[in-house]
Amino acid sequence: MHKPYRYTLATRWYFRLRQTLLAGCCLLIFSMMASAQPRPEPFRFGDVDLEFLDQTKQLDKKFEDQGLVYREPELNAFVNRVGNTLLKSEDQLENVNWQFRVYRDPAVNAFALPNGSIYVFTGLLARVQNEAQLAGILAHEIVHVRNRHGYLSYRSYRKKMLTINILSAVGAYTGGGWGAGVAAQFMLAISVIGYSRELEKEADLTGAQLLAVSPYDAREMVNALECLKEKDEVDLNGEPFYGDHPKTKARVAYLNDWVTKSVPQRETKEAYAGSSKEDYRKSVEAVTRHDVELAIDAGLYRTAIALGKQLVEVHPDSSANVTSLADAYAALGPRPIEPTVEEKTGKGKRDARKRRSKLTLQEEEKTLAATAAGQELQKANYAEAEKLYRQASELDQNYALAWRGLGELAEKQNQPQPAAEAYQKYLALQPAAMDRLLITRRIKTLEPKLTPKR
Amino acid sequence: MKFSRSRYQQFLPLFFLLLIFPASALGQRLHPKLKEAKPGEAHSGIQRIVVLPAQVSLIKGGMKGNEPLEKEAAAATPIIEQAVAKALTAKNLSVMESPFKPEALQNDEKMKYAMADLQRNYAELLAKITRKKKDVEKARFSLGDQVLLLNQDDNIDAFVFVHAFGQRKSGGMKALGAITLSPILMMPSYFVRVAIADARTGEVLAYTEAFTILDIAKADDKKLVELLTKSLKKLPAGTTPEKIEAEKK
Repeated sequence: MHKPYRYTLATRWYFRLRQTLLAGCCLLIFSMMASAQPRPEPFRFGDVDLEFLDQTKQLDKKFEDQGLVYREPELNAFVNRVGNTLLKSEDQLENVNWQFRVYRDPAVNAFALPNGSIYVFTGLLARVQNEAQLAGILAHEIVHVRNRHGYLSYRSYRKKMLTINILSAVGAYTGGGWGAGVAAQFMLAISVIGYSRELEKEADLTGAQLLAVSPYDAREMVNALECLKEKDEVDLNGEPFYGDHPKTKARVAYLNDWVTKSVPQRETKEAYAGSSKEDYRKSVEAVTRHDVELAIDAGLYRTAIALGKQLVEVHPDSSANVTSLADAYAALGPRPIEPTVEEKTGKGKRDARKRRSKLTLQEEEKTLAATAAGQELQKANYAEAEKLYRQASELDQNYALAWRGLGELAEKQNQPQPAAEAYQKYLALQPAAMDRLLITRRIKTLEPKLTPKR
Repeated sequence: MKFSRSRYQQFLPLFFLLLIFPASALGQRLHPKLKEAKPGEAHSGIQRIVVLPAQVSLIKGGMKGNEPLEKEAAAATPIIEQAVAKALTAKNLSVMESPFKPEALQNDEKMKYAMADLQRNYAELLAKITRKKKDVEKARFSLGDQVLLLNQDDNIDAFVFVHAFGQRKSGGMKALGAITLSPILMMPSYFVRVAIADARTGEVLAYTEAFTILDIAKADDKKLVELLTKSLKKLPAGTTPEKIEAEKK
């Protein structure tokens, strides 16, 4: 009887590699076919698109119900006005109801849903420098909706996934499942991201065209991107090697190129709307304060400080603004204001990522405060915070939040007497405060540590 | 078909295991405060409980990729919340009517934000908890006294956080699973994570996880209640309604 022939390890690997390459080539061809299809003009809704639209409509309600939409009548009116300035009569599209909303998140970002809901993050509103830059971002998102990018991406993704799954089935049938599967997943990622990048570039360039025919200066779109590049925090992840957006540097370059070649400069600066930094900063003052709170909550302490400084620059005599900056310093605790050289190195970033994934923010703070350098920094930051809280309470003696901040700061520094006094002052100024129970409990906890009055 | 023998050896036991045990409680962790009380024994630590709005995410895995099921997730949310409430009521805990339902918070932006912030902080903490669930027993996790913002009348003992996520399978995907001998592609999967946090200190008192291949979004929640009751087995019971009445008298 013959023994069955056994392939050597090298031969088996050769077969696997051959199958993987074959699967990859097939997928590449399929995905190229999927993305190279001409776009139907005008866009026609299929059942899948309508189902997708229905699902995304639900997101609006979800964001609203979950308290993720920021409501401030003046700001909402301002963002709506800027957005509507960019819309034209032909933008009344089927299944699109234009809405410009503010999303409570300290990230510098914006997104559009296919149903016409455009969300600008509080972090982005606080970061851009003027109304025209905000218009630039909104123009980009409007193009995504107008050119139906959401549906096109979804259609393309579905086609590619179908290809992948068929290939996986064929791979399993022919015995080369593992290699084919890996190759297929890789090619899918490349292909989906590649298509997404194409659409992003289109949104950038068409958005700039939209801005060029609006009262705003199209150059501000470039400035908005430049401004988004600035980061106060150490970017732990960095820009991906091959992300779904083109790299910011490349975006700035092609936009700059287009604007320089195609947009004639208007005669005077006054011919452009929304270029005043001061006016814009005043319009977003309250939301910036809100964003400082969100940034502190998210552990983005350096961002909070940068925004707090920005607020104080606009209104140095505002107790609320000074208190926001003080809150940021108090939260910064044992960390330096500027990232250290070690923090920026690869090892520093890896360590920080590890720390963030393992420890809670409170544990991280404790760890840092346990070092001599951390203690030094904490002392300095707390001193700065205290100075600012006192300044805020001098500016407006009835400004309750400054007293609350002083109470928290004293409590952090194990000073029960001043902490309890500051908290009591806070409650006296704001007896109906939302956090009155929280503060009352804190005072009760401090009571046993207080020195008895004679 | 060119499936090796080992492939069948892997597929068949897993397939039958999932059919025999379609739902299982994956682990229960209790804070030392609760651990001291024996299971089934009445304790006075937590009695009045509020189930916070559940965070539910559902997708449909099909041949053409994953499809969002936002509408279905929204419909499943009250079902899951109710099932959790029933499982807790079975433990003699008094589940209070939630004052944090979206309709109730419609015009109260501040409370809505406070709720959103608390849910976000919990989601951050959840990532740490799932990384080292055992640390719940070491009293390591807390949301801080910010929870008091939602307990303004001081009448709630604990908040219940519910996160559920699941993946349904389309017919095509099930067929692909059968062809490729992969039960993961064939069966739906649902995870429910429940955490109970002290409504005054924010400490995470209990954490539990459950897995099932049965649809958790069905209006008939009997199976889900059974699963959650099983996954909360170690949680000490509260005081019976009769005893509460007697104490009042």
